[in-house]
Amino acid sequence: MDAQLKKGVLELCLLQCLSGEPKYGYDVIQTMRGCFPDVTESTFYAILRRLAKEGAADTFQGSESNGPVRKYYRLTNEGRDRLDQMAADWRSLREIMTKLGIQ
Amino acid sequence: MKWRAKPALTRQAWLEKLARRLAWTFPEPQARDILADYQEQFEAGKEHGKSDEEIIEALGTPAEAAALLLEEEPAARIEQFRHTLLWAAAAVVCWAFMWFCLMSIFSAARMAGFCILIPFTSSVLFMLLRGPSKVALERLVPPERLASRVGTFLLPAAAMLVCTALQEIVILAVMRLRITLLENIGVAVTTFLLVFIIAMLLLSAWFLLLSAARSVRYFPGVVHALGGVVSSALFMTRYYISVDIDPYAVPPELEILFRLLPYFVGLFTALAFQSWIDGRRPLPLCFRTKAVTWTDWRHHLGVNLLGWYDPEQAGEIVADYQERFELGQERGRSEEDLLSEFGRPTAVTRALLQEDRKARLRSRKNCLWAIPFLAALLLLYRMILSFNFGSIFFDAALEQVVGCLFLLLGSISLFMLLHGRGRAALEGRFPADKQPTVWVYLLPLLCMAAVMGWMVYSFCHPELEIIGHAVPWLLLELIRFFILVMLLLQLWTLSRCVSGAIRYFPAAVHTAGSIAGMLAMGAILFRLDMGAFLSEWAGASFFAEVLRVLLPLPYLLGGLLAAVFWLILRAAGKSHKEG
Repeated sequence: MDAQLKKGVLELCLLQCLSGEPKYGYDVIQTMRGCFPDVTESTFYAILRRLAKEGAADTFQGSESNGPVRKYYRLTNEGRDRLDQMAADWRSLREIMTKLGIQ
Repeated sequence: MKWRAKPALTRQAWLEKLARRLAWTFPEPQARDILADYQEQFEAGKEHGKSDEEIIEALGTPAEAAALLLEEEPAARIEQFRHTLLWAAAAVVCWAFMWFCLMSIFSAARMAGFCILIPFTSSVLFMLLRGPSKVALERLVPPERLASRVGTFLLPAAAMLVCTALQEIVILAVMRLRITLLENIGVAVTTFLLVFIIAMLLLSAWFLLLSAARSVRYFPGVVHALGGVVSSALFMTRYYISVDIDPYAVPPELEILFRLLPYFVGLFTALAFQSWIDGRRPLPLCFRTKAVTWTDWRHHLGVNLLGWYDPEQAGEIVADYQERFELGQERGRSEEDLLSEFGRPTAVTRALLQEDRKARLRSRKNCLWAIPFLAALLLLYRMILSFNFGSIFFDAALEQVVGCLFLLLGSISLFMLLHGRGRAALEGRFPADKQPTVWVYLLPLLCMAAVMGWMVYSFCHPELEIIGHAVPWLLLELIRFFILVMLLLQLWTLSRCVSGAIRYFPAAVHTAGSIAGMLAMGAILFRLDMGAFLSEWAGASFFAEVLRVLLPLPYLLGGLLAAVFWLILRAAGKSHKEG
């Protein structure tokens, strides 16, 4: 997949991945890697960091059943707005593509 | 021939390589955060049954990881570039000072100068190499191969010992055998010292390279070797200027200690750095990264805006941001978050300027003040030349006039270039974090008082000698030392004026006055025929003559100008507060 095209898509996918319950950073990256096996984990981490820096995602320290304390990510209201916007953009793009005969 | 396959990276080596790259590209807190996240990634991967090789393959190379992070946070690169530029400029200034000291004729002042400059230059180099950040990151991920103490301490010490022993043998041979071919021996010693200095410089450069590319633990080696270079260079220039085997005219048992003083200063500085790097002592405050506060940010925005907008408009823009900040805090957002959202003050100003072309034109008018400022710098250069080689004027007292002219041109043009009144008005409304303390004013005053006191004493006791020099001639040494101290203070106060509060400006003018005063006095003393001058001691006109020639007129003018600027700033700040 083209790098530029993939970059926008990855952000949307990461936002979608974070939209439910707060998730442990490692799990988010592994889920994404399962979908995009040719993309390095560092790519997802860099985008995740940017999203947190821009206020679209929030981080906090938490632990699962007496496990070690780890960094968890969750979507903020700003992140949810961004996800809605990007998802709408994606849908309209898909419609255009379909109209043009690109399946 | 078969090439040996590159060994696979271990977890430790991967993290170490990433830490090295992060130290150069990200501020310390961010770099630490990223490194901790990657450590967590490794641990979590292991818990899920993955081997280190598999985790590393999934992560990519450390270079790729660092590049991806930078791609997502391009502001970090600009920030680090600024950091490099600033500290590289400071390093150049330090080397210029070192050169100034090395080329000075008198030995005691430059010795004292080096004792200040070695720790100072080392600190600047430490900052340039991202020392504090590397220390923090190496604590998180200790390097696999530690720097050996044999290299950083034993090697320069052994080289210095051999060099000093050889010098001593030559000196003893010359003194005992009363060799008449002193010049030939002088040339041989000079050549030997030159080779030694080059070897030590190469060693210092090698340690510098290692501390930049591998580990900060090599840094004490840089400082240690630097001390050796300075110590030998000092001795060599003395040979070069005059083939004098007993250059400092101090008792022989003390001479060797005196000659090795810069080396010992380098050694102790290296030991101090070693203890900070090892974590046996906490890093001094000056090396710690300070988080940008809202007051700092607001102040820097105001300073940036004043380059293009008048104080009223700049104040309005800053007030708008103040409102946004307060609103953000009411909604529970942290200071760090809000400042990160606003971006750098320069970026905010640039964005505003894109919408306002008229403002860009306005700034050009102010640039005209750079012309008198450059003229003042030329006058300063001429004063330094006179100080080193004697006054060129028929009447040496004219040096005082040059000093006064430099002060007037320099202080007024710089005040205008820095938008002094506008900044005072803005600081009246939005106060800066730090204000000057009394000692900034007291230090130049004490230096001048010491010089004047020593001058009166030396003219009253011209027959006295200290370490082989007539007391009046030691006055020049004292002046040279104080000029160096004042130049360092001047650099500091000026940097505070530019990036901190404008309230430092009167202190900078006062310090410049003391520098100009001492330069003028030194130039006159250098040219003065001391014998003829002192023979007039008996005459009643002596004090009048001393007053006419040696009164530090530029210092008095500097004090007066500082008071005037203080009043102007106070009035501007007050009027805006009341408005």
